Amino acid sequence: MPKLTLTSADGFKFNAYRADPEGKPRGGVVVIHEVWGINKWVRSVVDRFARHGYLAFAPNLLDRVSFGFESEDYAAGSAYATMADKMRAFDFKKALMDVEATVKAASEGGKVGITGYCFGGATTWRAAHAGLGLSAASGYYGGGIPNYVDLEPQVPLEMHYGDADSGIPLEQVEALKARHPNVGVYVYHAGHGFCNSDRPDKFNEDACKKASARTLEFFHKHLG
Amino acid sequence: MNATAAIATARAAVEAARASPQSRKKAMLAALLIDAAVDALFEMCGESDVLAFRADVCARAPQLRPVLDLAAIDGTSLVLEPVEVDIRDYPALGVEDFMVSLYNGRTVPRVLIATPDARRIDVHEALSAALAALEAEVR
Repeated sequence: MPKLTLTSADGFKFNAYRADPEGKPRGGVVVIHEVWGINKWVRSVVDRFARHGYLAFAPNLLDRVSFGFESEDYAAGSAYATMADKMRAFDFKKALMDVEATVKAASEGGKVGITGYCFGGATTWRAAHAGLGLSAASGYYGGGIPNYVDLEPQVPLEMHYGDADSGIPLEQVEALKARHPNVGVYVYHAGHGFCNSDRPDKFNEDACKKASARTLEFFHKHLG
Repeated sequence: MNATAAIATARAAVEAARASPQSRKKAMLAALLIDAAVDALFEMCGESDVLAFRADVCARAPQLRPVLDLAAIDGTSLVLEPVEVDIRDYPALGVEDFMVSLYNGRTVPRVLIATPDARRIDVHEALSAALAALEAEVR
């Protein structure tokens, strides 16, 4: 079954989505969602990595603050306040425990890489810093760079940002690049969320294709 | 450059800064162009003392003061700081700010004018107010 439950080291059970490749996996990939949980688009990303030969998983890292949360509603509005209120209780340390449990599950496929978008992009950097049994990490437009710029990655890492991202100042991306010359930091002519094909107002196909190709090449190099 | 053209150039810069709301460089460029437009207005008015003219304009339109202080590059500066979002303000938040704030302690980065007395002023609001005041001066 593609939807399943995984268990963290502290016993917390959380939702996840799994997609299997045809034949023997060339590795494992963990996909971390945006702030809308493992919704339709995130599941499509997991399916895409499976089509490329990876055993792929997406954990729901929001389960600890709102169990089972997922949304297809990208419109601004009052639901924002509800989620913002729930996120008061969010704890990255616990989220990384859930990531670690997912990495363990994905390791059935071989070496494991992590990728993620927005919230998932920031989580990707934190996971790369924590190690967690990962072999590579490729994150997308993780906001709040000052909150992770000083975390040294323990595994090969690359990051993708948009130069017109109104949530992530370009000068912070520039500082990140200067601080971590060994991290591949790529900038595209695009805004925030440029890879989400379910959001026509944000999706930038050209930028996303280039970035996704880089991620795949990176995972081929480090995972197999 | 005449005053009308100078203000048009400043207006374009203010709009460009708004389109890149996290860019200190674009905000500073807009501030400098507003400052230059005040000087162009001085030329148009045929006054003899530019400093007195600038002081008079600021007295009539105090919205110009923080922007001209910023353009002076002497004590007043631009900073990029995280600003906490009140839960009541969330429904009006832009989607990018919403997404980024959720996992950053309910804060969003903002470009602010930092005054020598440690006050903080939203630069985009200040630029828009200064531009509107300048346009009123021309009328």
